[in-house]
Amino acid sequence: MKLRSLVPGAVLVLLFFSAALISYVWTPFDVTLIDIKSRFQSPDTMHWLGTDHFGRDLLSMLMVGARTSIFVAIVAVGIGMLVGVPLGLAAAANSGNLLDEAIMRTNDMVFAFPALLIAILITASYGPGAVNAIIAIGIFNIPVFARLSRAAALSIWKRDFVLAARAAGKNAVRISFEHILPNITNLLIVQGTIQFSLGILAEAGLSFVGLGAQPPIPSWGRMLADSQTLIMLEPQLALIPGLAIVLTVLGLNLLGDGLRDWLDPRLRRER
Amino acid sequence: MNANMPLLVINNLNLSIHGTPILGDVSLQIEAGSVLGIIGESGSGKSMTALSIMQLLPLGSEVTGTISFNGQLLTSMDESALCDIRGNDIGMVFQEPMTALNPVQNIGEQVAECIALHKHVTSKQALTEAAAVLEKVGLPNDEFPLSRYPHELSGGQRQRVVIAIAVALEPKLLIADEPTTALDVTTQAEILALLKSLVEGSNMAMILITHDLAVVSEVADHIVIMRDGRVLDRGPTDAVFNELAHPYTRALYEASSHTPQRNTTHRPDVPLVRLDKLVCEYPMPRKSLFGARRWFRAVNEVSLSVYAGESVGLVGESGCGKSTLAKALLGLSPVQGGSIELRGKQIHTDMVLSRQIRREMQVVFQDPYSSFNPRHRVARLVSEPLFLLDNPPSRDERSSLIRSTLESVGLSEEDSNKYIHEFSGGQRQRIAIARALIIKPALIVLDEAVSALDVSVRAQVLDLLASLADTHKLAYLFISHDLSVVRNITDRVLVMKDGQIVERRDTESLFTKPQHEYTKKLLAAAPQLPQSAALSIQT
Amino acid sequence: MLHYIFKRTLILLATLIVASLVVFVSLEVVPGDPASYMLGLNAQEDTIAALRAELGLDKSKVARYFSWVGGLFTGDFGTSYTYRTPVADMVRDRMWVSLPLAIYALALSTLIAFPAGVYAASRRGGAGDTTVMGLTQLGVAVPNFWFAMLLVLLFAIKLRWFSAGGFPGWDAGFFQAMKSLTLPAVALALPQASILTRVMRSSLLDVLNEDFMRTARAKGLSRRQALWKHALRNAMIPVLTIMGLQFSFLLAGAIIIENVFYLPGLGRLIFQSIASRDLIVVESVVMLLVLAVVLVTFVVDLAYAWVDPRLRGTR
Repeated sequence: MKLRSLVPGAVLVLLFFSAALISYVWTPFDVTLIDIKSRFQSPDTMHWLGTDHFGRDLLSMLMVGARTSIFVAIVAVGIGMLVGVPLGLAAAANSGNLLDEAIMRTNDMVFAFPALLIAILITASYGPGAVNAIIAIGIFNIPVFARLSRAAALSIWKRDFVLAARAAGKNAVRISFEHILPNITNLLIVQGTIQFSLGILAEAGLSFVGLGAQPPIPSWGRMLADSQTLIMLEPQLALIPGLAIVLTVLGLNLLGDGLRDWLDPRLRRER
Repeated sequence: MNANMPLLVINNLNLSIHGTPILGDVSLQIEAGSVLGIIGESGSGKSMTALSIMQLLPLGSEVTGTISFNGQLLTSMDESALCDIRGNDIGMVFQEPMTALNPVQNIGEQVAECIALHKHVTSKQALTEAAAVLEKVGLPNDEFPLSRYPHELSGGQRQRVVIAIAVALEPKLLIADEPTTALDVTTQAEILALLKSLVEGSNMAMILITHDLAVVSEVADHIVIMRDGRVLDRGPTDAVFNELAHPYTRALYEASSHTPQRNTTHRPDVPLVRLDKLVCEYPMPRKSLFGARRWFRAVNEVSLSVYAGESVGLVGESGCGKSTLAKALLGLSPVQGGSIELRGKQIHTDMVLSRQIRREMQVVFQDPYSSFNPRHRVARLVSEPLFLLDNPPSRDERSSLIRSTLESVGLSEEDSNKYIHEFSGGQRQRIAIARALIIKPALIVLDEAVSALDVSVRAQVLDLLASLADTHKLAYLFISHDLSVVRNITDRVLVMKDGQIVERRDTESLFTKPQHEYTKKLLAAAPQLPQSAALSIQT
Repeated sequence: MLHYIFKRTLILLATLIVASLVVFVSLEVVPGDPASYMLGLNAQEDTIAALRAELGLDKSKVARYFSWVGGLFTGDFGTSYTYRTPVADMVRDRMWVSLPLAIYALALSTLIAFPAGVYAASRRGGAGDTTVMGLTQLGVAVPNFWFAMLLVLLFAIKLRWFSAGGFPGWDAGFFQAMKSLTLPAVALALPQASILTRVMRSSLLDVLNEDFMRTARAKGLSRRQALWKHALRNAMIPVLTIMGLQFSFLLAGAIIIENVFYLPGLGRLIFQSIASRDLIVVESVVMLLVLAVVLVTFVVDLAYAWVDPRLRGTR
């Protein structure tokens, strides 16, 4: 049933990824140019989505904003996985041990700080910027992946084939790589797409309150913030970036759902 | 209702689920007060037959045929009428007692719920009646108050609660689907005795579903034998086992009493493996805040020896420590005291076994479905122990070694490229044996290696093990709770209870002249398959 | 049970201590000299010196840490540099906006999610289930502050059912106050309710597959009875975890959303303080938020043990 969601999800994700990648080499208009004369134009053949209050082309803003959101979210997921997964695997391999306890308790403590608060702390010391957003969201992703990896790894450690590997003389590190990791990869991929979509939402939120990427770099969140005062007169300035966020996140979630079903070993067997 | 009319009649029952046929033309009947046994191996459809009677089939089920109970046609009743009958006139007991009860409700509530559902009583009265039923099934209230939760009970005790729920309202029919398969031998005997007494005490009919011929022969008046969703043979128990009319019945019978051919070997002077006063302990979860941590002694100063080429059985019930012992021997579980020697040399007891030592011992586990990494192909799975060799073989040597090992367990080279999910349970155990065999160890520990297999498959695997032992001069440590299997494949048997060996003898003497009380109890509890007239005529 | 409570309390205290260290180090140690940071690049030497004395920066870091923590205990959160008022006073009023908003949102989210999740699970695969799954799929993708803006556009500006922002204060009456918190709470609740609905549904579906549900049907319980009496309580266990996590997101979301509705809560306070580099305020407000999150997690942990007797230990 859910395989239906794989294709639309992939399409949406590809759409926004392409927009982001293309924006590195070309956008219809220059987003740093302020052209007050052209402001608030409705969509036409020149500006496919119209212009904003500074005369900037909305389509170009969206494309560069896509780049910001995706970049921040991807790096944050990367941080979460690269640090969180080994931690989770180490905790599971040492289950019950002091190391396990230490990792789990530290996890719990990080969970006490929503990404926003971490971003606030960093910003208060270092000033706002996209890097702070990446670090804040990334730090929050670490316990998510650690907890997931640990739980999944623990259930695999109990299986007999791990005992067989130990009887073959393999140590915990080798077993974690040869046996445990391949069996949790599916879960990690699915969780990765979820965290990616959450990252996009988080970045938008941080940009909205001014803690994310700073002007003149466009970001979807800040586009929304700017549109707030104008919402009565020019609602499209709020609707367009908002829809962009919704569609990207929706696409990622659909993709994640579809991947989960596609990668499910039980379903795989029947093909 | 005519007293001679059968209580339950199933006529031409056909079941398919999502298009897959499950049951074909099943017909059977049972009289009030009698016990019908339904025998079959896995996939025979016996559980589905039971669920059909209860009309608790999964979604996507299509049923034709009729089931009439007590004069009413169950197959054409609506759901609310069926709800009235379930639990009230028909009770059911399932296979897995550990998961059959709601973990967040206490046992009193769970039994009382059934009572309150069908009788107009206050909740207080329901609880009182529940208490009475729990006493009846052997859980006296002073030891097992109604406020107990399922996680505080053992498997056998939980099964008694499930039975209490099923018989609380004195149903006319009790369906028991493999009620003792997950239980120990002695617990199994107790539960079967309980079921028998309940049947005799109240003229309740019982359908007992099992794969174990010995169990059914002791309890059932009539039996029905199923395979692949069809009924192949039926009749009064004695007659069926005496005549063995149908070839499948005969095959099942022979497999159940199968004795592989084995050559006895000459026992060398020096033991291959020697355990001396071995101690293994587990920390128990803390009960109070500040008390010292308590330790559970799973293996209590056990000494034993295994000689090259011999097959030693280690029997005991769950929790006796036999698995812990095996794991300690293999260096997979920590050891707190005593020593382990291999060929006279001491093995380190802190789980750091050298590769030379690990090379000499390998293991086959019980569950063919969790013994293999689902992401690896058979070639990689089977060759994992090669990691222990100082000079790992070259690619060609490896492939030929894999091929020859697979062939020696009855599989072929093509199988080495497949994934494990493409194989059946019996084939997987063969692959597990191949994996254990590939580095030519001196000892293979078989930890309940055939317990999860169907009877007919089990016989084949035991044959394989016997012939491999002859060819490769293997020693086996055969761990099992199933006495009949142990009898057929071992030279010596050690009986373990509560972490200690209570009796050790050669196999035949142990079974014919047991000395220790516990051994006698185990043997008495094990159901015996009766001798069949058909077979003795043949020989 | 006692052992469990004791352990959770220890974790609670440890978390608070570590959190306070993290906050202190981030805000007072890392920026180097807090005084010159607060005053900016163009500040005069003597102004900086004066501030340093005022903040007690001549004392060692350790001493400053302990006096700060001590102050937290006694309710002395220091004095805001920008506003020259005790932080405690500023925080107190605003806390009574942000916290009730988060709780209101949590309540709404739960009230929507539980029935929706149960409904979807009981109609699995059917039209009702697909509808719920489709709606929640959209719901989780919507940024709550954007949804807030849309709500304002529709309900406040076009329909005029609610005011577009502002908070009259609790003195103006419970209902009035709650009314002004409603649109923000709905905006916050939507994505969280969507997540919670999915969790509830999947947890319930998992439980419905368990063996003890079959036992329940064998007793004669109808599908619905079995679901209500046996499945739900078991399904709650994973749902409770999510609810605990959700509170932290809701609190963070509340902080952000106050911007949209001009609510005088902790959000505006904190962002203004960041902009004006008033580290003292930021320190205390962050600590307060962490405390709220940790307390809620603690309560959820206790609720676990109440729902699941296995956690209470054996007798």
